[in-house]
Amino acid sequence: MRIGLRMAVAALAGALALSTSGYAQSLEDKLEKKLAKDFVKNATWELDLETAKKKSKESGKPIFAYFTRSYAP
Amino acid sequence: MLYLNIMTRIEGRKDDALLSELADRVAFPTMMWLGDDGKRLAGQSGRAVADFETTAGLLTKRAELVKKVAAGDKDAKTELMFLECDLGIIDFDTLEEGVDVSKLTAKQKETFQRMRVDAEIDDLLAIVSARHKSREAYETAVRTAGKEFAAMAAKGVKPSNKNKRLQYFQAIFSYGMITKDATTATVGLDGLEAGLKDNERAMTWINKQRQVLKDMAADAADEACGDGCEGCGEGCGEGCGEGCGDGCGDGCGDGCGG
Repeated sequence: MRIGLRMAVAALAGALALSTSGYAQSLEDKLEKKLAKDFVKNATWELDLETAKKKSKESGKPIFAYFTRSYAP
Repeated sequence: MLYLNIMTRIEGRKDDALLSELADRVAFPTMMWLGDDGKRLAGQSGRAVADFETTAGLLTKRAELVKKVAAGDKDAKTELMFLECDLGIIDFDTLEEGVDVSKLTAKQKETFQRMRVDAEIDDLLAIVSARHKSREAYETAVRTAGKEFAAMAAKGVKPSNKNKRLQYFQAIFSYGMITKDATTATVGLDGLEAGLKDNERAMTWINKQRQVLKDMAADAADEACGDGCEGCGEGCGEGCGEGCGDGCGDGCGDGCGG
C-alpha cells in the first residue's frame, strides 16, 4: 500500500514537472512567434534596456518604448 | 532610439515586468518615452502619428533646455519646469514651488493659470476614476466631482487636454443623470458630442442619451405639474407653469379643478 502511494506521488510529480516544462516551452514558442512578426523585423528595435539606455545617452535622444506581450494575443 | 519590451511571463527573464514598474496600469500595447536613465519621461498623448511627433518635439526641446540649465541659464530653468509639467514629468505643486510667479512673463502666467486649473480638475477626476467598492461609493465620487465640474463648466472652464475633457464632461453627464438634472446632463452630453462627433459608435450612444434626457425632462415637468394640481389633463405637461401649483393656471388643461 505504502509502495503504491509512493508510486502515485512520484507519477503525479512527474506529470506536474512535464506540464510545467511544457508551459515554459510554450511561453518560449510564443516569444519566438512574436519576434518573427513584421513590426519587429522591419524596424531597428533594441530589445535590451541597458543597451537602449547606453545608446540614448550616447545619442542624446530619448527612448521610444513599445510594450507588448507574447503570452496572450 | 526604439526599444521593444515584450512581456512573456517566462520566469526569471530580465525586464519582463518592466511596464508594471513604469506605469500605473498595465495595458497592452503601451507606448512611452523614456530618458537615458530608463525612467518614464512621457506617456502617449494620443494614438495618432501627429500626437507622437508633438511629444517627440517637446522631448527634444526638453533635452536642449536640460543642457542650458546645466550651463547655468536661469530663464531656461523656468521654461524647463513648465515643459516638464506639461509632459507630466513633474506635478503642478512642484512647478508652483519652483517658480517665482511674480517674475513670469504674461504668457507664462497664462500657462501657469491653465496648469493650475488642469491640476485641480485632475484631482477631481482621480476621485471618480479611483476603484470604488460599491455603486454607492462611485455615485458619491461622481456627485463630488460632478458638482464642481458643472460649476466650472457654467463659467466656461474646461481641461486643456482633449482626453481629460471627455472624462470631465462624462462626469458632468453622470452627475446630471444621478441627480436627475436633465439640464446638467445635457451640458455633459454636449461636451462629449463636441469631442466625439466623428465617432459613429459614440454618437449613437449620445443620441440615445438625448432621448433619455428628453423623457427625463418630460417626467420632471409632469411631476412639477402634479404638485397640488391633481387631475390636470394632458395639457398640463406642456403648459404647466408656476401657476399650475397654485390652483392651476391657464395652461394646465381642462381637467384641472384647482
